[in-house]
Amino acid sequence: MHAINFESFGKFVNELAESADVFGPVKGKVTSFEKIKDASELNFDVLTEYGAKGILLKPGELMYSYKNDMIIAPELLTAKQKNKVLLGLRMCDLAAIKKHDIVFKKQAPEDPYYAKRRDNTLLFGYHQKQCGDEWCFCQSIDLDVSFDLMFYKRSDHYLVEIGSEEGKKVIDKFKKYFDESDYVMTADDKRIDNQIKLDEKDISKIYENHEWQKLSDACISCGACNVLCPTCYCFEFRDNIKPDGTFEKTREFSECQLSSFTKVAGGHKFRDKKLDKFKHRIYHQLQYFKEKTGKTLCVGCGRCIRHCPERIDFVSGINKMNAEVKQ
Amino acid sequence: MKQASVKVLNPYMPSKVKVLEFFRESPDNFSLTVGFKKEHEPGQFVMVSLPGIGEAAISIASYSNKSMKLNIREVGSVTDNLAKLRKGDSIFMRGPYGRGYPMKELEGKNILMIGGGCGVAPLKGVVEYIATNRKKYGDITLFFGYRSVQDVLFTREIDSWKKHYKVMLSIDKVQKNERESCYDATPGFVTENVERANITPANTVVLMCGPPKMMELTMQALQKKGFQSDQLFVSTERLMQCAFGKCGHCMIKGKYVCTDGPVFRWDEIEAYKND
Repeated sequence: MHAINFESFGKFVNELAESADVFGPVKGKVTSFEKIKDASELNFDVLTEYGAKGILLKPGELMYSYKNDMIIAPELLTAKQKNKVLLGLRMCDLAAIKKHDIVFKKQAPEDPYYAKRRDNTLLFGYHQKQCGDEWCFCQSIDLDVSFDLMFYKRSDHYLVEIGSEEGKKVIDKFKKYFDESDYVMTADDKRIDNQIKLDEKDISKIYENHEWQKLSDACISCGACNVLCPTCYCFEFRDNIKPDGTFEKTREFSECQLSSFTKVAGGHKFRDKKLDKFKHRIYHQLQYFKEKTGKTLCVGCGRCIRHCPERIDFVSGINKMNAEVKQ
Repeated sequence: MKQASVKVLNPYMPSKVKVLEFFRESPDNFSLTVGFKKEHEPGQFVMVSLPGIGEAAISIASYSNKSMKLNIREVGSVTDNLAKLRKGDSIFMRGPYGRGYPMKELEGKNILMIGGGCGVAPLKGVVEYIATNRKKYGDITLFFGYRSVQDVLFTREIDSWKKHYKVMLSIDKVQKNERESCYDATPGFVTENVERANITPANTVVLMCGPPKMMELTMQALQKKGFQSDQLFVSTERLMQCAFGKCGHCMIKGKYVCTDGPVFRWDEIEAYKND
């Protein structure tokens, strides 16, 4: 185990930023993961409003362009990429990246755009026991994380756990900032305090329950839950024409709560009822993804409740429905 | 330079394909024959794109190793622009994708094909597949239905189909002066032809594709005749972006139309057909 005090941590980050693109939580109008130039920009106080998904699954990703009757691969795929470090990733953010690794790297065919961004990226986790707020329920989910380094916040320093060979190389390279520590982490040290709990992740028996109607009646179909979710990865393509006559195909996230999500040519919309769309998101997160991969997609960060304009607490809703099933 | 020599396989990248023939089938429907030679199963689909306009999932309406036929209805910006293509033009394509009709599994069985409008397109691929493997299947009956005489598709193929298979055409509305030229079709819905037909479920499977309402009514008619859900195979339509199980758009209750479908055995999705 290693340790690094807060002051050294800042210097360490600044030195990292000289040779790599460093991304971390930054507080602006909202808190989100942004590229930083200096450690003083970082803000670890709150769980970011936006997840970190936009760094590796970049909105507006150029898939290819078309000019003079030729399809041209984007620079991302042909040029060498600068190394990246994502730091300040909470357990939920780390877990979310692991879900995207499954979809875009493990499941064939590999997505070369995600893979290219991911392959030269180091993940530095950040852990504090009082992590989020009353809407976090990550401890109800099997948080499956991979990291290169994990920083556990203590009173005046971080304890550092090495998670990969690459992580060890970083410690070796920057060893002037790190001290050896003989502290032994306990299971309790790694826990996160949650105030709410999803009692049962299996929601297969409550699909027809009337409580879903109550939950979805409050939904205003704004799609904020999709946008803020660190795992929601559904995407669509856009075709753009540039002034110089080049055509470009780009990729954007798409939101299953909006009715355009299922609209086919001719105008028909499948799954058009708000109730069904609402259930689709939750079932994709907790059941469908598990059917395909063995893991839930949801990481329990609570962003979809915390920032829902109607504060739709589906965790309590599911608990209530599953309690009915048990009776 | 080592970096550049590594060829990245990019599943999103289409390849350029020549249009070999354009044929107008009906006022809002046409067939394109394209020089896309990739092994495929009947019922699979391809992604067809026009730079700057977009990409659309199109079912394969042929079975041949020489070229591929696509049957397309003009219902949106991509398909409207595909209709402007002529012999010698190029389009971009990738695929084939998805799970087609399980033709190997169905060997030895009688096959009923029921199609409505451009839903006949994937079934045409099955018809051509059977033609090259005729001895492996029992009786073949085609129930194809169209809105009007002008909407009848594959008029160039109908006569040859009639020589080899039982063909039951229906046309929703036939005007009096059109009786002569309606390809011996029965006026009325395809469902009514199915209801009237002397068909039994014994050793028989049904392959179906068409508008949701038509499929629902036909299911009811078939169930009255004793057909079970596991004897019916349907081809489904959903919005698609990637076509290989990533983008999430085509999901029906956790199943991807692009990889688990587009052909499903009816009992796999019966309860969730509106999802």
